[in-house]
Amino acid sequence: MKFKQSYLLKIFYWLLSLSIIYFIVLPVCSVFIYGIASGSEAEFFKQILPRVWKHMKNSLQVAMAVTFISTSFGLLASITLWRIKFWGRRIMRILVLMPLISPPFVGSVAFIMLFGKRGLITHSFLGLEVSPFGYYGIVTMQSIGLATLAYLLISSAIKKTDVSHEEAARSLGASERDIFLSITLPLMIPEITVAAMLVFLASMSDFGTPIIIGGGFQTLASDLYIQITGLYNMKTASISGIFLFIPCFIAFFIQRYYSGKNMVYSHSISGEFIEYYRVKKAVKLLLILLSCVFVFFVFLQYAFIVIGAFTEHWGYNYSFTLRHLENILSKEAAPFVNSIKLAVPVALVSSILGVLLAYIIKSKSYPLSKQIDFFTTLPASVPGILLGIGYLVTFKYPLLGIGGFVLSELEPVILLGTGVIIYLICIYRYLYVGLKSGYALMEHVNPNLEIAAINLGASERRVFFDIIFPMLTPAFNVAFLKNFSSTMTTLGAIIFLLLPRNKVAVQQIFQVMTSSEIGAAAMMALMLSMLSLVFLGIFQLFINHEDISKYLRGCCQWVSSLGKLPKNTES
Amino acid sequence: MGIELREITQKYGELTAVNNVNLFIEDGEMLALLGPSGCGKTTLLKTIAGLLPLYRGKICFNNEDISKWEAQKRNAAMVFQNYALFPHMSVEENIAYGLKIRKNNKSQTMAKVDEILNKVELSGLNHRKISELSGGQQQRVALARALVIEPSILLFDEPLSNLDQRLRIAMRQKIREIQQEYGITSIYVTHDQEEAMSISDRIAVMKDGIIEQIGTADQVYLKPQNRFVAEFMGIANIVKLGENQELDRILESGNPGSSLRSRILDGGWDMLKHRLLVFRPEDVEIGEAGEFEGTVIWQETIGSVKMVTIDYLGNKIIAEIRNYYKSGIKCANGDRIRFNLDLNEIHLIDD
Repeated sequence: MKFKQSYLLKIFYWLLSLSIIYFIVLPVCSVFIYGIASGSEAEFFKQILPRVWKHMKNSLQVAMAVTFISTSFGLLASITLWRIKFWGRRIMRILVLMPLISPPFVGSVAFIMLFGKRGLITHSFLGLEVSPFGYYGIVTMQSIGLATLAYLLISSAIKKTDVSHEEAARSLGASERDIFLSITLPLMIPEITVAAMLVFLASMSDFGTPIIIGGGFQTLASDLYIQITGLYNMKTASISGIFLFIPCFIAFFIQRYYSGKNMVYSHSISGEFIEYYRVKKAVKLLLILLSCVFVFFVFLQYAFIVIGAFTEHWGYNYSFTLRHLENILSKEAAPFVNSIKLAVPVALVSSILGVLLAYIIKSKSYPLSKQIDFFTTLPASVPGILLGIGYLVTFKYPLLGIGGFVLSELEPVILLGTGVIIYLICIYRYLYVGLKSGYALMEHVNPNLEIAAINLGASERRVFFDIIFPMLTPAFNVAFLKNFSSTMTTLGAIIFLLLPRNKVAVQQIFQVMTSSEIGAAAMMALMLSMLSLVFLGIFQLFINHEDISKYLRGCCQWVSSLGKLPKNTES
Repeated sequence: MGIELREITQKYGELTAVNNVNLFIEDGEMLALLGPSGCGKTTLLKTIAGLLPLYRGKICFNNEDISKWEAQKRNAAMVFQNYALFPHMSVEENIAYGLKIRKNNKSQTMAKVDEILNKVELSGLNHRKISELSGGQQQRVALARALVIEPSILLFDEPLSNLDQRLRIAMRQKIREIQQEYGITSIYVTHDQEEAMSISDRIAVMKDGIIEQIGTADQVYLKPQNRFVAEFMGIANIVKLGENQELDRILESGNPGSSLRSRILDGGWDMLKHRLLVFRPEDVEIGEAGEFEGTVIWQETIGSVKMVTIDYLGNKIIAEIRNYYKSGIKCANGDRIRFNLDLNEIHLIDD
């Protein structure tokens, strides 16, 4: 194809690629260099390795159990809520998704309220002074939280089920049980695997839950946090980081291999007609019951957050209070403002860049696009806390990192300790979200669209601004909403980089949690969830304003037609 | 096996997809359900297969009410539009699936699979993956998978619509051949009138959930019961009589003593009720000696056949000229042209 090429896009592509290498690849490599290069061999084998190995075992034990439980419940809930018709499933579909907008420790707060040393069940009912902190607590809390993730991934696949395979099996005489085991389940293996791997990854990188409710039982990720904040041992932390990275990377690769493998989706059939209409009553009841248990647990967390937020002193004094709310509004409002100030620009910039990059990679044949795609999605496989360490060890040197090796005498420009660094890490960490939603959109776009515009005489630049940019907005909107809620609730990546003056709400909650101020933590978690919800609502309004105004106009017409009706009957 | 449908109604929420359908299909018969998309033909087919819950009505197989039977028990194998082959199984596994369910022993199953593969001309492809097959091959695997369980009824849901024209014609012959050889009662859903006419014993034309007409291919083509059927079954010329005096001169055409009017009256038509005269392009004869004169407004030549659209007193009349190159007839857009109506049988429908 020969037409006038725009240099603007090309320059943009190269600049973005360079910055991706600089802000993603370099920090990750730094962890490896730092971990491997520093320290003696003897120390490594004697002290570091046993410690890392012990926590690695803990991490894997937790992650495997959580992966199994979460994926099972995710699958179960997906099937029940989308393929079985029963009263109340619509509300359940919404309730299940609640953990997506809440900070990651909501479950842990509720857990402490119920099972902590002064917990409702352990102390008040059973009279115990100890609590079942540790392995089972972590597995339970992570399972509830991550089952939502598994549900989200599997249900989005289930909605696209092509029922004709099942119908074919049915008309060939297979029983419903046979059909499920020989057709439905095997066809869903790609989605189930993808969900399982992402759950595994999330469980491995979660450090908050073990810190809060793990007690003596710590995982690799939480030990990493302790190494840095408690022991200031960057070396051991880096080595732990390398070990943490390996299983995560493997899981990520399995996930990447399986995602998009399933080619049997129907394009015409909507979710309306995928219900099983002939399920045994007992099976149906069992499925609904299990899903209800799952939804109940999700709901329970929030119920206790709300109760805890308005309780004077949990475990000691259960009277109603507005103390925590007043406290936050008068003294502690700044972190919430900081959260918003961080999340909005990050979501905006990373979504735009990600979607644009997706467009460039898919439609232009610029060199190295495969590598850039890989680098951009790398943060999806790197636990946030690990990327955080990468930034920590890289950008403490002048000249944005590499100065430490090359120009040690120049005026230092050190990123670490500035406010900018947390924006950068969040933007580059979530770039892949925009990239992915851009890819998804591009698949449905007719590749001839661009050629058609060029054929009509438009320059490449005109095509971009007249055709491509408006076309990409849906992908951008999706990425924006997702990135906004992720940034609002993220902690791992930024916890080492934050300064007291730009402390975000999640960090504040985490600190309050670790000092066991349940009421304040609950109130903050509640407020952060509400804040996310309100902002997401506003963005939705903004995005769908046309639909909504259409709907409102419809309502107005309906109301005015009501007014007219009596007149007509009179005449 | 004879199939009887009595007062079948199906609904999707508020939408009535099938509306009070009565139908009888004889043992060994192939019936085509023909209609535009959204007319309810696939819904009706799936209802017979037991894949959709019955809203109202009764289905009988050999006079036995099976309305409440599960799909599994009905032994009604279906061939799907997208083939619905199991992508995680090989050709052989796909075909053997129904036999395994029926607990046939292994050697017997394999023998049957080989036999049926031979029948559909796919011998030797046993271990191919589905994704490695062409569209036509997938179609034949789907057919084999349905046939191998020796079903009482075969149900086809637009099985050829994803194939190209040439393959479609070859495959519909193959399907008809096999259906007649096995003598399986079959229902064939399609939106292609040519396919319906070529493959079936009888055709049921559907529209908006209602069966408009049932009959043999000749019957629905030559004697459509209403405008919809007339226009759906190929090109129809429809002229409204008794409204325009000049146009009504058509009635006086023909040989003295057997004018169109007298033939209509002899045929027992009530011209106050049935006012639309229906005839096909091949009934219009173009020639110098024609009684009527109109203007050519469009013409196209496909192979040896020329279709000419003539404006006659504001009515569009389409004429077919066979062997156009040998006929010596010349016409261009805007030409005045003379033609006759050569109606073997008169057919009128009501407004």
